[in-house]
Amino acid sequence: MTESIKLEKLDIGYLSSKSTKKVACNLFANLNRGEMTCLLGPNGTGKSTLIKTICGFLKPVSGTVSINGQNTTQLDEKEMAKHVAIVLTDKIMLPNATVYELVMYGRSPYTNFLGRLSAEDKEVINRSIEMCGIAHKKSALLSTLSDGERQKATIAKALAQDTPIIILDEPTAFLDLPARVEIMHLLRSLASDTGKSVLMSTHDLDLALQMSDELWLLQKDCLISGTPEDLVLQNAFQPMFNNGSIEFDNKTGLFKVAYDYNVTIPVKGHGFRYTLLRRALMRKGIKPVKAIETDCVYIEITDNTNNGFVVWNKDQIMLKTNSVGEVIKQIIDVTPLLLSADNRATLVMN
Amino acid sequence: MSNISESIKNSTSINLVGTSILVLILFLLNLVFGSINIPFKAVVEVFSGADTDNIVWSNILLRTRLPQALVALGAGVGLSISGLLMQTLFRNPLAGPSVLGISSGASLGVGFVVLLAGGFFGFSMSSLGIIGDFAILIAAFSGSLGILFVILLIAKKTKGTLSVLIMGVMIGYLSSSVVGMMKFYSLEEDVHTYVIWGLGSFSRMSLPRAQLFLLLTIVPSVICILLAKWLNLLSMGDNYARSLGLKIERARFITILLSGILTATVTAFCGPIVFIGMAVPHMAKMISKTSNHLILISTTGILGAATALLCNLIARLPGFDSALPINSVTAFIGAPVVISVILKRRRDNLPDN
Repeated sequence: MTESIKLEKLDIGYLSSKSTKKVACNLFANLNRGEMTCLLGPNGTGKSTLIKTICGFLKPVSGTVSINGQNTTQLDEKEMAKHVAIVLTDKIMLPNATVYELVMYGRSPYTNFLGRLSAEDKEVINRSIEMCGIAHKKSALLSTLSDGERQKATIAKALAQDTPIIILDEPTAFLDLPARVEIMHLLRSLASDTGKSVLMSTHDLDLALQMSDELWLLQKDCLISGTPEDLVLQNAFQPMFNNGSIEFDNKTGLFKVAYDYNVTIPVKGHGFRYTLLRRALMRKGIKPVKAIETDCVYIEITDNTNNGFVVWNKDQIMLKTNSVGEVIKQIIDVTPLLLSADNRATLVMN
Repeated sequence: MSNISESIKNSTSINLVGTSILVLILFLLNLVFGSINIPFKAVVEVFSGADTDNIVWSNILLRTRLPQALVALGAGVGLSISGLLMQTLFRNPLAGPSVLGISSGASLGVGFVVLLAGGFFGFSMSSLGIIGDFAILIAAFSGSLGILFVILLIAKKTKGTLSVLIMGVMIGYLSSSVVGMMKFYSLEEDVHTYVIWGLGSFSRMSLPRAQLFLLLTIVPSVICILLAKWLNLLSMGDNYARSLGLKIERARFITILLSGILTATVTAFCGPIVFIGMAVPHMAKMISKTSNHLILISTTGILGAATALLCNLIARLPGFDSALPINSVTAFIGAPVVISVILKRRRDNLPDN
């Protein structure tokens, strides 16, 4: 058995005495050991509801969640605490608590009634703090930590709980890009080094595509799971972004913002400068096309380190510059353009 | 790295020993100082069992000052720990022993006996002496336990902790409105008795009753130490607590029960004592610099005893003919503590929670 969590025909939602509000239904999925799985889905599809259901905070509307072969509805809090550790979006408000104290509370399922720590407990706590790379902040107050350090301390707490499964609800929200990558790296290595299953919900599509072993795509009536690459091949992401503002870039295998364009401009050249120029042009609604012999107006990308961009009009140089911004300005503001989506660029000189 | 936890341990034990010595000193000062000047030597003589020539002094010490100090000690410990439990349970720095409406319940009970009995039976409660005192005690106890029972029922029925807090505050308002109506229809001397009861006092008990009171407050307070691990988990928030294996409903029920018993006992014997239960936990958190309730509960209890003894001492400072009402002293000390805590938080840019 390689799966640590198994969802079978699971319907999730909120049960009350009068009515049942289903958020998503008919979910099947397996969570693998030693792998990091990212749960993706647009806002409102029930990522948090699914995580709460797996953690046992919510009862499944129907269907089952099994953790290491046991149905979660038959596990009490104490047993669950030895299977699953969690990191939630709620900020932990512990006035006067140090990092060490927070991580210490992660040992609660193993300590006695007074919470006395054995030598082994202390070792686990110290190891967890070190693995999360915050050993230097061990005796710092939680309130003095940055968001990233605080998140690492919370992950260390979950690690100290010594469970085969760690579930995180948007652990990278509120963090800047380097901190996000760092947290994802940390979780990845935790999964592969310790053989734990890590399940995290996130909105970072790019990072999830690059770093997770497996993806769960949550939709209204199904959950599609697989390696990121397989899901790309299956075109499984399309329903997530059906408003067309995001498109998949076949070259990089990542997503990018899609712009509408109604004009084109010929560009001669390639390389890194071309990529940047293209991005700047697309943002303004202009699409670069490959320049051909007959074009009279076009942008040339040269190898010259001082003047990387040259704007040509009928064999005359309009602008020589090294700045993308100036090229764009020339194209849009300085030179009146008559461009259309169907024809190649035509420049009307006064 | 183990040096850090060692030094934390050391500073904790220094704190505990230091505050305990403070309690001892304050306890002695409570015996020595009063409106009548008794030399320290005589105090030692009376308590060492030696015969003293001065019967008056020995009477004052054994019948007034000792029970009063014992009651202050017990009330301080009980109220402070009860307040800490509430602040942790509701994760609210303004919570105190009275948030659950338990002391209002006691007032309601006392109101029924003191205010209504006069109207019904045609005699004033205040004329009954000892029997009247006992009736007030029973009334306060049944009033507060009744409210505690209602709160526990609500806590069992509802899921959220916040709704328990709101219910408690609302029950408090309800009972004070009922008391207000009763006051309106009752005899003037009964209202006076009620007001005096409401001012709170550590000096209503004989020595045996004070000893009983001490037992009734210290035992639940010590039991509270056993809740330390649960409280640590509860303070992280319900979801985290549950994920670490805590049965939230049971922990919440027992926390409310113990805090309620402590508040009910103190209020029944001493009347509603304000501010100690709210201010002392803040002092304890400031001194002990930890979130671990094993340390916090002990520090809070000891500091609570010290604060109550200090208040009692100030209330009877030599120079005053008679003792000040204890509540005016506790508020005078408690309010600045709470204000300074809030201001310090602002200065350190800490969140208000």
